[in-house]
Amino acid sequence: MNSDQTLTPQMLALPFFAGYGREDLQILSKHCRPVNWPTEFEVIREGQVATEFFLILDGRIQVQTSVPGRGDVTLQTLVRGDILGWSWLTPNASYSFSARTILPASALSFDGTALLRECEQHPRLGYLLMRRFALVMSDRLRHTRLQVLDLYAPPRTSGSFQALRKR
Amino acid sequence: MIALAGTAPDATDSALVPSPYVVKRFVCETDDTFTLTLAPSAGGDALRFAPGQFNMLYGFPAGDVPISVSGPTWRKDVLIHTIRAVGPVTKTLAQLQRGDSVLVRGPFGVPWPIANAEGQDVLLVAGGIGLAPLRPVLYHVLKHRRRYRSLTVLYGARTPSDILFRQEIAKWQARSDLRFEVTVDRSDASWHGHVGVVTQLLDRIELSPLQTCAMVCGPEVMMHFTRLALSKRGVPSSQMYLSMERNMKCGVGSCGHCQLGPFFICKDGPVFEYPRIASVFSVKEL
Ligand SMILES: Cc1cc2nc3c(=O)[nH]c(=O)nc-3n(C[C@H](O)[C@H](O)[C@H](O)COP(=O)(O)OP(=O)(O)OC[C@H]3O[C@@H](n4cnc5c(N)ncnc54)[C@H](O)[C@@H]3O)c2cc1C
Ligand code: FES
Repeated sequence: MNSDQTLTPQMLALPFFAGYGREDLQILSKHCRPVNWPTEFEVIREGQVATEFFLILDGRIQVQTSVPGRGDVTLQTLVRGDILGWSWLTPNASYSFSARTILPASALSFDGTALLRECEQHPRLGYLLMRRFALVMSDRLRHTRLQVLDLYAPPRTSGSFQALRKR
Repeated sequence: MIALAGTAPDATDSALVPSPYVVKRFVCETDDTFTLTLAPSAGGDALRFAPGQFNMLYGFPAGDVPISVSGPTWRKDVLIHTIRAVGPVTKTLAQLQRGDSVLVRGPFGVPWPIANAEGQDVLLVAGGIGLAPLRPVLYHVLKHRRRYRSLTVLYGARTPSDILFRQEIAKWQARSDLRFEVTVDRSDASWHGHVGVVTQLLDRIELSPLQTCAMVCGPEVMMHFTRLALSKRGVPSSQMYLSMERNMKCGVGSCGHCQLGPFFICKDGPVFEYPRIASVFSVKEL
């Protein structure tokens, strides 16, 4: 499949595709395919061998982990323009989290294993792709750090005022 | 271009004398947050205020605290305040019942720049209880919808059960003339909305940065990162407004209790155009 068929102008307008040359886009397009998922579809599963990544085109996806006693806990939601999965960047890796759709979703699925091979032969593409993923990862890390800060946590002095009203 | 936040009305002597109000309504918003509707005990009109201004509410005998008005400006008969019970005074206020008396002093402070924002895209970014001081802006813009371009509200709460004004938010989300996005830092199984910090929503929305007037209210760290995210999106810092918090006593700039660098938050703020406070914002010692 060539880029003209797979990658529409709307897709190419997404920030993920910014900065690539024509040849780069052709290689990317060779290794991607459109996918559609219904609601409640498990896109990836924690522990599964990681060979793909996804560029979300539509819908909403929950990134989850399973916590004993609490079930599946959602850590983050992804929407149009977001990237799902970067474990494929390291050889023999497995996904660290699961992902499931909450709304019907569509995405571009990229064959990470094939792309890694292409990157060896096309260092420019490899460099651009790694830069793109570095950005994705640093954004995620920044957001996660803020989440960990628990900005709206009640002070130790607080608690349910409804108990006070009942007194 | 927006030059200044709204102008603070002059604090007169009467601002130092509290007026008696009576609790007309008490609504539990969440486990630790409630909304009081107060009417003047003597009848007649309540204190008039501009969005972003606050009153000093007395929680007898614990003391008084600054609380922003969270209701619409056109409700002349009542004052509406949304309060998170965090300490002695707010916990005293949390025990008020319908018919109880409260002393109110105000309104104080520099309001949000609603007049300067006319003709612009309005972006409200709220974190936690920070939605309460921004709600009057939302009411105002919706009432005068044609005076403004797009209206976007991004609201971050700790968990789904900490979301304020739930029913109202559902109505706002159903409207086509504003975009209201909610995200929570921690979700539970019942939640199908966004999970992640509020700055993440900011990275995702469409923005005409040069035509955007951004008003931000929440914990200081949240405002700091929101400001950075706005800058990254190209919004000029002169079009960012933040609401600052410090403990207060007099509310009129005479006791020095609320000093932040060269400013008294009660008189020079709480709403500041970002460049005015850039040098003191997020300074650890302040
Ligand atoms: C201009 C202005 C407007 C304000 N508007 C509102 C409002 O609309 N609604 C509202 O609920 N509060 C508002 N506040 C905050 C409120 O005035 C303070 O929470 C107040 O200090 C509470 O007094 P207290 O005696 O109950 O608790 P304090 O003894 O003052 O505080 C108890 C503990 O809670 C912490 N704390 C105080 N405020 C918060 C908070 N918001 N979140 C987390 N921890 C906190 C303190 O650091 C302390 O550890 C506003 C403050 C300012 C300056
Ligand atoms: S509260 Fe007294 S100077 Fe601000």
